[in-house]
Amino acid sequence: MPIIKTENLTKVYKDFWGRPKTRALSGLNLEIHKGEIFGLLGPNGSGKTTALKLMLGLIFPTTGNVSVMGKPPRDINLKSKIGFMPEESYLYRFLNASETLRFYGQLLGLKGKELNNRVDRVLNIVGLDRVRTQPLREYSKGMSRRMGLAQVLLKEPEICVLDEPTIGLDPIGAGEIKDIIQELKNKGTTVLFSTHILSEAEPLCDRIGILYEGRLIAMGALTDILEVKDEVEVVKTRETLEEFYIRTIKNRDTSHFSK
Amino acid sequence: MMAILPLFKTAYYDIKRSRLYQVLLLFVFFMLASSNVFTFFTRGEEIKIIKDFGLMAINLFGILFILFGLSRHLPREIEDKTIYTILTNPATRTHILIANLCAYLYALLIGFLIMTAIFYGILYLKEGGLDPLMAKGIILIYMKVLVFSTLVLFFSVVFSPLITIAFSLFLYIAGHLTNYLSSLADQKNFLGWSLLKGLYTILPNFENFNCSGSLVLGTDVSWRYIGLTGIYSFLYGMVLFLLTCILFKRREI
Ligand SMILES: Nc1ncnc2c1ncn2[C@@H]1O[C@H](COP(=O)(O)OP(=O)(O)OP(=O)(O)O)[C@@H](O)[C@H]1O
Ligand SMILES: [Mg+2]
Repeated sequence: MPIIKTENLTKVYKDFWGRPKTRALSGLNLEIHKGEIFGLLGPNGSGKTTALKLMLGLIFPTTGNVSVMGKPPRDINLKSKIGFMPEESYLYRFLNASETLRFYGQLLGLKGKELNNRVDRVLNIVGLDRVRTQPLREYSKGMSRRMGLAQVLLKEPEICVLDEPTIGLDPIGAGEIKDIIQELKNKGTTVLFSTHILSEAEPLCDRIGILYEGRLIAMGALTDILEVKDEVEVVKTRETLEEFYIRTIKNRDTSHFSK
Repeated sequence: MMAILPLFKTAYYDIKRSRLYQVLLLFVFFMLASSNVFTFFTRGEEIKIIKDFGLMAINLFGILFILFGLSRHLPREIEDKTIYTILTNPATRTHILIANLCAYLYALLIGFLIMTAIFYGILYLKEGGLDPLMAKGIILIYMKVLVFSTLVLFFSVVFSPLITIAFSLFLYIAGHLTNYLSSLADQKNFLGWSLLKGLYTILPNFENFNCSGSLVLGTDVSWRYIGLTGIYSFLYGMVLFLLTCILFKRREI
């Protein structure tokens, strides 16, 4: 059974009076399997964040259905099992790093020594141990992103949903995040993340999906979808994910405009 | 349920350090302190004016604090999207509403206690005694602001802070005029009559809490009356709060 399943998921954003404004996602059918790393790719505004928010129950689908571990995504019992790192740091800016993690730990029902230990460990992992008493409003963009990840790791979740996890991070920081994602997978965590950076997705993902104007235009395991480039060579080389991505979207574009 | 306590503590921490809360407390402190300037009246009149002034200042603090604080609290969490991170943790929208309302009512209570202490301090210096009627007046004001808080929270779930402030202020004034509205209702014009009667029924009757005038003059208000008014404000607040929760559950954030 897929751990996350969407059926014909559609989202039309409406204005205050309920009039339709933007069709952000159309008929998404997606299955994420337990223990895999799934990369959601697509240009700006293609509906990646919308799809993730729907799977987390943060926004409501216009039509269609989402189930996470067989439950509706707003089920409160799911919340301690799914970690979400949004595309920007949506944390209280007046709290410092340890206060922030203690706050989220308490929401999870952690207490005392267990809470302290987890906070210490997570701050170490994301490298914010030295600035733990500085309020988040004084953090740089990259530090805020690390804090966003810390909030996810604190949960020790079964599913990690990361919206562009490496954006705004320096190359070393981005590398560290990739290592963390790999490590999560090794521990059996399911990871679903969105990104623009294909060179990042390629070595990490078991499967990818490409969204374009709210529609899923490609999906599958990398070994299945990347075409073999040159049959003559003894060592076969596949096209890179980047080449595949550009090819897919370009094809889409021409068909789009030739109508 | 266990999410409410950390949410409450964080919201209260945010309120305590907010400029609005601190400035308002200071403002009322100076207002109370400056009530000493009315020395050109006779002694009895002077004390009456200080009492009137004090109750008014405490009322003003409560209304302004809720009007400008609570009206912006939830919209800000939605605007900053901090609510997203909270909702992906084991906390529901209802928990957030409960925690926010309680944090404001608690901050209000602390503010009222501080001001009551100062107020009584000044009165003691002037009058040489502690008039228990003032405490009754302050309790009634607290209950009024409690009802007002649920009103502001209700609007803040749907509207932007500016509209919330406008609507709440309008209803605050209208709520002081409900008795007048009721007497205005003209039996002959049925439409007008039912409209006014309807308004009279739905609007909170803030006049019920308004005993400052008679208390200052030394007319007692029975504990029974205070108790009944308390039950009224609790029930009114509860119903409005439940409506707020239902509305917020359906709202797209
Ligand atoms: N709250 C909103 N109200 C109205 N329209 C929205 C809202 N959020 C997103 N949209 C629209 O929905 C579409 C998809 O947005 P979404 O944020 O899901 O894209 P994305 O793939 O995450 O883009 P990016 O790569 O830039 O993060 C866009 O056209 C956007 O304008
Ligand atoms: Mg996005």
